[in-house]
Amino acid sequence: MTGTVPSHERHPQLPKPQVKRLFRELRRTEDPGIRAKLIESHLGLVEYLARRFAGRGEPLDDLVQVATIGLVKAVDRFDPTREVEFSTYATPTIVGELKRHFRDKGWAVRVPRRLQELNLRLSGVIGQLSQDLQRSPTVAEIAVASEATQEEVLEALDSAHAYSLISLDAAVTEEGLSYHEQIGSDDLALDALEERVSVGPLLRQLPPRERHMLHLRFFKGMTQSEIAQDLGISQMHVSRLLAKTLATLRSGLQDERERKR
Amino acid sequence: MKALIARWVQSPSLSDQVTIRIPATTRHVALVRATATTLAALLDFTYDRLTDLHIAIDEVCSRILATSSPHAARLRVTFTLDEGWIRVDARGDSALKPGEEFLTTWSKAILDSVAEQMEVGITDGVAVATFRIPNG
Repeated sequence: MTGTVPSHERHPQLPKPQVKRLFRELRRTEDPGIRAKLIESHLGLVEYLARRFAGRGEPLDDLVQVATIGLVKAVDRFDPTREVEFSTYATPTIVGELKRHFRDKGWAVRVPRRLQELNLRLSGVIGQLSQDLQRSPTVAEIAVASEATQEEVLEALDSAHAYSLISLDAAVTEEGLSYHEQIGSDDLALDALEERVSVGPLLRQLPPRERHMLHLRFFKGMTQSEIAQDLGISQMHVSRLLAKTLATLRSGLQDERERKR
Repeated sequence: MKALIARWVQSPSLSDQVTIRIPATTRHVALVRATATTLAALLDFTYDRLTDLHIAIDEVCSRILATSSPHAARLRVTFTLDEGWIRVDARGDSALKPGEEFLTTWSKAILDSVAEQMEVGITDGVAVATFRIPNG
């Protein structure tokens, strides 16, 4: 997602007077095209701020998505009549969103380095063991292979899966993965269920890969190891994405209830 | 403590229970998950089954909390350990009447695929869900 092109080249920033002008026009016309242009021209700022929070146990792509939510909020709330630059106004909103993301995950903003390193190792270890054993490994087996104690493995797995039960703005992310798009006609069971359940509209909004993953796990009865193999991603990633997607659906239902109150 | 629990589960003739009571708020469900993780590791659960256990706990606890009575103070979760499986019994004060469902069709679809012997109901104003997660 981030590639090698510097962010300022991919998202050229507009001159400040033009930003102000566009904001005035946006407030007057509510033109979605102008809104999109303003958001796009500040994606460099988003990436810069997200990078400041990188290396704390969260994939950068996740952080960029969270920070983008902060940017969108700032664009929608900014008052161009105030004597302040938009970037000055947006920075605390974006940083606030990033901090909230860590807080919602129940993490102190800083995850210990040894845990980050073990976390990174575990994904490979679990994949390798699954292949060698032809089944999902146990915690004891993971501990031996990663040269860590079982307690350390449990701690690292917990931090990898730390997410709030009702997560706020739980955007489902791409995480920069290469995966096969095998979406479509075989997701019929999910399609049928969609019509009957309250999460139906939320299911329809999910990215194709997440929908497909739900279908494989809950309707085709595939194990997480099988899904990992099928999609060409790690087992830890499947587990994390499933948990996140389910949390997103719960979060959506919660919002729905609050709107109806 | 860990050695003690390990001894229980190593003995084929013994099973035992661990109960956790948490405030009836979603943020505390992480404590239930953490307890489940430790117990599942003691039973040598595979990584796949461990995450199934998490999914089932999240789903059941979130549904009990979503339909809880405004006076609900605690959610009680009891784990019964045996060789090869963990049984989970989760309960909390409910705003629903007997016969009403606290699981949605969606929750049922998820739970059907990760858990066994699912039983749910409202008894005397308490929502109860029990299920079993096998290892393997």
